[in-house]
Amino acid sequence: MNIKNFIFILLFVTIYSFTKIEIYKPNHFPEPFIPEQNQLTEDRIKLGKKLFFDPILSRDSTISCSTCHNPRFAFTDRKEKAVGIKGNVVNRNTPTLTNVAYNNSFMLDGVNPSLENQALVPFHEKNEFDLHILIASDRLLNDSAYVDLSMRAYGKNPSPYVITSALANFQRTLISGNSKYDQHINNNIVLTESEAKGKDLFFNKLHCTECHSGFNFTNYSLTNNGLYEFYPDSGRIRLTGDINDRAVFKVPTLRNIEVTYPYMHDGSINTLENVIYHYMSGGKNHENKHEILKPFFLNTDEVNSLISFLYTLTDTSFINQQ
Amino acid sequence: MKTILIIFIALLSNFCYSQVDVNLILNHQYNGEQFMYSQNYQDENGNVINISRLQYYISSIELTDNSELNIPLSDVYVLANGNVSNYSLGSFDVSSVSKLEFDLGVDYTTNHGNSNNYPSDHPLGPQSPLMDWGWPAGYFFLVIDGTIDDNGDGIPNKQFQLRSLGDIMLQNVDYLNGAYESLNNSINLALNVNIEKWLSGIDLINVGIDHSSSGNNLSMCNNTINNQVFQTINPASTDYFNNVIDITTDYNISYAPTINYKLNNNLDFNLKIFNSIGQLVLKTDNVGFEGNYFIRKELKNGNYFAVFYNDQFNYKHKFTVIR
Repeated sequence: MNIKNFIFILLFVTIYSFTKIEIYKPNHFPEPFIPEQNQLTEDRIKLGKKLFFDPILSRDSTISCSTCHNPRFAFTDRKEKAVGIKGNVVNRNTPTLTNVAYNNSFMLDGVNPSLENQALVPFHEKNEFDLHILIASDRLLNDSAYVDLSMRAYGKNPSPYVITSALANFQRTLISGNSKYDQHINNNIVLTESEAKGKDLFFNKLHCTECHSGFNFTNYSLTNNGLYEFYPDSGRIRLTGDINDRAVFKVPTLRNIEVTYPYMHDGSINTLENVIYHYMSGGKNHENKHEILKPFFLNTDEVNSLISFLYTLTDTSFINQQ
Repeated sequence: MKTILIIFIALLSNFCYSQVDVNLILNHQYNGEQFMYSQNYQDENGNVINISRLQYYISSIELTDNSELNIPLSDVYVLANGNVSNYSLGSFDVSSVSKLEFDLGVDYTTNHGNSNNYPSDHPLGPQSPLMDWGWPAGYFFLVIDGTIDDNGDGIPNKQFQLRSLGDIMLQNVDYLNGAYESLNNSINLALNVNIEKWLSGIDLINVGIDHSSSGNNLSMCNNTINNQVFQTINPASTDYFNNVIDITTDYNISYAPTINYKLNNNLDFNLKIFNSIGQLVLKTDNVGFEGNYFIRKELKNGNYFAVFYNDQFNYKHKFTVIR
């Protein structure tokens, strides 16, 4: 191969590696926010995915991101509270990563501003990976596959910047918008009688969309849903010191809710039926409880219909992806 | 003629933009004594305490010279540590300093940025022990960890951790007027840092583990101004030249501890770390005479020895790793 051809191929590979790609999203979804410095590329996604599923990032190499964010459960773990290395229990339920690219704040109390920042959390949390990010990057430096991929993705050796950026890059590709409900609104797939009745309750008769609105079934706000009078986990107030932030948590997406049980920030409610009963009760008194939460009544048939509708938000192509 | 012109311009620019090294000297004290991690002190209620970690950020530094000109030291961040006195702030066009102003903590934008965007040797980069909490993006502005005697036996064995985070913790220190020392093309901004004033009014026995914006942490940060923790040192004073030898271990990252050291002033040291059977684990040259050495390595359980040495001195410090 002459030098001219070599340079041409090198240039092609370099340009290809750094060429940003468009995120896959259904037509009825808006464009997600992608930071300028961390545009999606094939290699960045590939690196992020490899890291996401690799236990090399935990101190004893026993768990990976996917241990708690299992794709089969829409990137949750079906545990009341997440479990890290050595069986250590985290004090909150694992949130889904469904459509996480659209979130404007991270952690259940919304105290973290970006996916890149959030990616650091499990490293330094003693009950999760418990591995200093610098030591994690040193581990990757000793792995030629990671060094190669890191160079192709970011033009740098593995580092805290590369690790957290790549993990964020991959997570932004976790788009779920092909549920029966999506097919219903896009392609006129017919809902069953029960699902349709549940849909009517959800959108027209109850106040679900006060919080669970929009294409992603969340308004991304922080609120108190009357789970307790006194919260062991005071949430966001720890950071802001603002009493209005006491025990307020993010409104989660309802997409794939069928498979993301148990529910609530602490995983304290096991079934959708019991979640509905909680809201029917109007919730416990709390100074920051959302004003919309008032007692109401649904008969068993209506409860079942509402659940049937929520099940239409399950995207099997998303949870079965490799 | 052309050459003369170039020389003239070069001289003129040199005259106009003479750069001097600006150094910040923080003389950490506790009740007027030179502060050491290895020494016990008394809190204001007479309880014996030991402080194992004191770290804080200084930013938005601004100097005022004798002609009342304000000189902001943009993008200078200092991560101060209780055992380290000398911090180089860089070279600036300043000839005299009559006032020093800075923030304790970091500004909003930086606090909501990402520590991973900085290299590991930058004050805002990943640190060990950690200075960013992780759950919320943001830095601990001021950390004081330690133990206190809670039963009168004179042994400080009840843990406390005060780690302040959140934008509301930011404190603007703007009262430091005085003549600052100018020596050999450098300016030394020397301050006493009175640690006990940060802890005033705080019930350390009942603090426990407090990583937050509220209560005790807010009081501690507010004490920065209310109690005037920082004090300008008279340039004639030599307090900050005191020699102390202090080597301690910080176990916040249990499997990769940090060695805090303060050795003979202005001498350079090398560091070797051995395991209990004398095998060399790591060796690093030119670690200076004061600092915080993060052992960026996963150590196995057991005893280790850190040896700081140079041509004149040799100090051995034992530490134990329990993972």
